[in-house]
Amino acid sequence: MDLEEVYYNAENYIETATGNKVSRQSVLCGSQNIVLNGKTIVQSDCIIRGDLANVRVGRHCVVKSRTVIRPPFKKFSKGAAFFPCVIGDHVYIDEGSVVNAAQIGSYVHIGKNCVIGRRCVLKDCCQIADNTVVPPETVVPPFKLFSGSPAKCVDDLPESTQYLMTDATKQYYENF
Amino acid sequence: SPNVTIAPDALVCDEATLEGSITIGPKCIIHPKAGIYAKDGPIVIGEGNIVEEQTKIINRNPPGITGNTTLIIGDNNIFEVNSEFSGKFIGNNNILEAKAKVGPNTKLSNNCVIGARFHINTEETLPDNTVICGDDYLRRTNNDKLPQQSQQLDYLRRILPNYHFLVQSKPTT
Amino acid sequence: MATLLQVDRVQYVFDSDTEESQSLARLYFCIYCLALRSSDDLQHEDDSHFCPQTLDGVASQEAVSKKNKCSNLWRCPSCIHPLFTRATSTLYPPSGESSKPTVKMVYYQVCTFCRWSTRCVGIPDKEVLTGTWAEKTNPTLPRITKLFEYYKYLEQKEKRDNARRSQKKKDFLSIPLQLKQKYTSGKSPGKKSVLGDPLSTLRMKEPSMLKEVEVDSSPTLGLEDLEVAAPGEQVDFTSFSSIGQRLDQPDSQVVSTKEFVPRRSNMFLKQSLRCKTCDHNIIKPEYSPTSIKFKIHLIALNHIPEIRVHKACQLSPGVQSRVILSLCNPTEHVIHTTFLPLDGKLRQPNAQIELPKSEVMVGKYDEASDLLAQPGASPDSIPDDPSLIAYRRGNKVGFFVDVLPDSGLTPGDEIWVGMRFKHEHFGAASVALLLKGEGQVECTWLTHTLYVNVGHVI
Repeated sequence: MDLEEVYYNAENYIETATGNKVSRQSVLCGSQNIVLNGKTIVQSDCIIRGDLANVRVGRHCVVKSRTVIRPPFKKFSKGAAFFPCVIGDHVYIDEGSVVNAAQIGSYVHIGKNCVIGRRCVLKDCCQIADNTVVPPETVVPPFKLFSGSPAKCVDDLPESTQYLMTDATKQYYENF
Repeated sequence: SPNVTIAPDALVCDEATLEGSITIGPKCIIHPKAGIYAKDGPIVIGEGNIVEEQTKIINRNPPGITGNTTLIIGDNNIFEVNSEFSGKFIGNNNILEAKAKVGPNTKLSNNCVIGARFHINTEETLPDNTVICGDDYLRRTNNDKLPQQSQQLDYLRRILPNYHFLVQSKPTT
Repeated sequence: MATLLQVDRVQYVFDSDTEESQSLARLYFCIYCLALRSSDDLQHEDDSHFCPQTLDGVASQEAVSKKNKCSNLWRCPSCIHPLFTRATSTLYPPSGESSKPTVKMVYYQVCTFCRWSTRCVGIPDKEVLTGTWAEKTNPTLPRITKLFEYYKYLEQKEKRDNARRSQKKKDFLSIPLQLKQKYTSGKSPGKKSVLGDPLSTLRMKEPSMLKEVEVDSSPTLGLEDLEVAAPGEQVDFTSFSSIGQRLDQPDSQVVSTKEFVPRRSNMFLKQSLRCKTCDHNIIKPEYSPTSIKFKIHLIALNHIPEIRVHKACQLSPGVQSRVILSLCNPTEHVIHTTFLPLDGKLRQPNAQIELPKSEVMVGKYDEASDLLAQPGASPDSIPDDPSLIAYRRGNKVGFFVDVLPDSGLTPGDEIWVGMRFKHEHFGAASVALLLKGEGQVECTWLTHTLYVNVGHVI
């Protein structure tokens, strides 16, 4: 089914030159370190902590309301730092999720109310079901659906995932 | 807010919500968008705690009980993103992971870990070194000491002032 | 994303005999047999294995020799989640030569989810990063090998007995033949020596030396062997393993949490798919586990136009309503589609649908126009019939259909309609040849039956 049109109050959203639509009610700390590559939608009440480290988000991403994107923390032998968080293109992060991952590939679908642990690496074309907890430092391989707490591989995704995600995110942007 | 006492080396971001009578100990870090609501009584927070964003520390009486009791939080605890604590007592060195929820009837002692997305509201005091996590309500006793957060505290203390407005502590009279 | 787009609402029938259907996203299209195939129709072949954590590719034969277990990835016995190796430096008391305490890196494994670590059970820390963690040997392994030997002995014994029996049968049949050969033909004297001894076959073969294997039966457990907690005693259930944890280690099945051991974790699989009828490859992934590209990628979404419900609508039984369906053309040619009613199939839809009578033309998929994102006109530059076409955008077309749900439906029921649609399929000749004017593209008309869930009854 095609996605429905989502109406938003134009005053509440800032539209940038590259086509990003960011809600005014979201908190983007350290916005000079946050890069949104174009046609990305950030809905209300999100928190993106660019003050801790760089956050880079790809094109046609959709970040729904009340999510938290936070760069992960890493202890080195010589000290500690926050690692940059890189998110690929066509990623759909559903409401209420907490993302502490170090890297998220492209064409990823993250469900509602998920917790992605520190320094996780989510490869391209994977899916995290609603209400899952992905423990810290896990690597989620491509074309797998992870669910449960701790997250386990539940299903294999069809090879058409890439096209479905591209289509879904593009439609979402067009209908927004 | 008039009743908030903040120790001199605590870092409280301006965008955090502090309501009611709160005492924050030294070396604490309160991230923006954290919420500390002292509704039914004062909250006392010890030293070196980290309260991340979207957390709620609520002093609210459980249903049926009235009165004015203090919520005591010990030292070096970590409240991760979107966790909620409405109990009455936490000891030292505990970790409440992301989206964890501790109800009003539970008390945590020392070195406990409440796993991510875990809601607990049992009427008990969790013994020391308990780890609870997962879909299956797995409960374990942990022998290892939990990692110290002093490095994170130092790092945050260095960079947070660059990006956020901080609530200035008042000189104690 | 399957849930985002609700791809399961439109089901394409891929097997005309049994009327099984699947959403187009999960179907494959064989361009040689020109038919839709589902995952069950295809032959699955193992392409490569990979470790889920390090994403190292391993060839299939190597994986089989390792019994499909990853060499470096261990699983937490407590929460079945991968373990991570952590390094700490510890102080050792001063050794003989140096007078200062030495600092060494030691490694231990820890689970990030439940924080179980190898130190909890007393496994000593290792000094080398990889390759030193060993799996605990199965305590019942000697008995299992002995049982194997015993069964092999039984098998040999049976074979020998069977051979003996069939030998007797053969002998009865061959004696008259031998006598016949002896007395009727004397072709070559050399043969006589072969037939010289007609009773030779009656002599039995020497029995092969078989070792006698004895196995004593295992002791049976009675109920009195179970431990019973004293009444009134408080059980510390954190020291006992749960059934799930116990069964995860089937060879030892420990009861106490102090005896947990990390176990090797299984590898994941990359498969390639092959059509059973024409033996061509349908899906062939790249070797690298992290890559999402395919060498051969014949999914149905790339070849068959996709019909989707454009908007969710609420329908009442007995009331005819207009529903918009959208048609998306993934190919690089302009296609014409016609709609036909269902013809007496096994599944009965529970609503009537009035389909467009005329042909619907859909533009081709053009990557350049994607970036422009403008609504386009119909390829023939003929203005669209507004009662038929709702909108047209690039390679997507929305068209109206009228749906009349049956009157006997209860609220909350899903309404399914069925239809067939016919479209052109252009063969494998590339667009480049077409542009040059050479190369005839074979055009075949394909018909698909599909069922669409248009909404709920209010």
